[in-house]
Amino acid sequence: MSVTFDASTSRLRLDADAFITLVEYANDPEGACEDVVARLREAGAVADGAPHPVLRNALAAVTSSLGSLQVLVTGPDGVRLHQAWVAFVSAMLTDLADGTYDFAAVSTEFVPTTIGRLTGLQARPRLDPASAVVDESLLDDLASNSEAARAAGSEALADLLAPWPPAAAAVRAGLWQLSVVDIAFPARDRTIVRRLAWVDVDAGLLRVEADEHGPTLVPTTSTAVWRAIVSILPTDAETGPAAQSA
Amino acid sequence: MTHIHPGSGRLPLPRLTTVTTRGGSVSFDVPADWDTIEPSPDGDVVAAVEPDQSDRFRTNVVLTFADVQGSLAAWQHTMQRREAQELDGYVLLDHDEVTIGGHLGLRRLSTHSTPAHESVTTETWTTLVDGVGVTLTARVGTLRLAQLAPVIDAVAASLVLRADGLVPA
Repeated sequence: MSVTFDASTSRLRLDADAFITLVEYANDPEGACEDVVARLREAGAVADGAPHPVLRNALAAVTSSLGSLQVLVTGPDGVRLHQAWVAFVSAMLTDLADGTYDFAAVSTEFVPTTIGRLTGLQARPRLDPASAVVDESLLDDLASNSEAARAAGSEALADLLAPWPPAAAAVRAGLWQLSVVDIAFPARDRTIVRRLAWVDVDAGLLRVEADEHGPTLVPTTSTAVWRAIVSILPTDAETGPAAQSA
Repeated sequence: MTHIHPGSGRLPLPRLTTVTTRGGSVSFDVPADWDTIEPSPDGDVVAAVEPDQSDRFRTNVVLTFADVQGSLAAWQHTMQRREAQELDGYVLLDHDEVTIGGHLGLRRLSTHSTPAHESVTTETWTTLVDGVGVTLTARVGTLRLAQLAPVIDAVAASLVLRADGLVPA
């Protein structure tokens, strides 16, 4: 796999091994795999015994993050798992679905915009009020790396969406996408974990909600999803000095 | 796959006060401690902005009036296209039909980057009454949206339009 780096735009494209090695190198240059470091050096991402200065903010976010965030996007064509590190300036590792990733710093206040872009959040028709109990295994199938499992999950999803015929028809036409945003961050003496999941079927959006009876699909809007994306991020009160020292 | 609801971080709704213009034919509520501005004497623009706090983006609400030729949909299409061209990083997130002050209207949700590189979420409500286009625009720093969404919702829900007096004599 190759590593490509453009210092003028700070754009770094690399494979998983190269990314892990870059982070190791930022912490301890002596301990990083020399063969991979050579590839990073050849691309210009490493120079003079350190990562290139334009990568400093993004690497600082990885090594000193306030929380880790994952964005899973699955559909009939495949699965993408994006990773972010939330900090004063955050970092994003964007899955390009070809074994490589884009690694870049992103201002934390633009993390919601990035999530919106990665999940293709946009206006959709409103679905009639109703709900459908969904089996956890169906959601696991939709999120699976196995194409066969996703196909089986897609068929089951179409059946489940019978209360919304346009949505069911869209799924049968292959127009579905499951997005799952997970975040975990330490606050006081515990780790806070939050999850937001929704299904986009072109004909509408359905949020995965959960209670003591298990997950349920409920119609939602992209406005509500956008607000939920913003809400999932840690607040200053949760990650500020008071929370850390309490 | 376990699903955990995100935290809300919402604050109680602040005390609201009513702003009126066009001889009282148009009104909407804003938080009582916001600064109200009416930059044009004919009341074509009325704005309210939250108090200045260091360098934080000041949440604001702006009500504008415009003479409109054509349909609400065509006017809005033009407005949205202009915003997409003029605002950096503009993303249209949602749009739908709504009722505004008893009139058919449109609502849009978008986000963009300000010249100061702040992420702002904008919610816009528009309607057309007797050839007068009325637009209520609320802008909030994106990371404060969860906290301020109830305020934005309350402002939008409070908008009252009376056709008589809306069009200047």
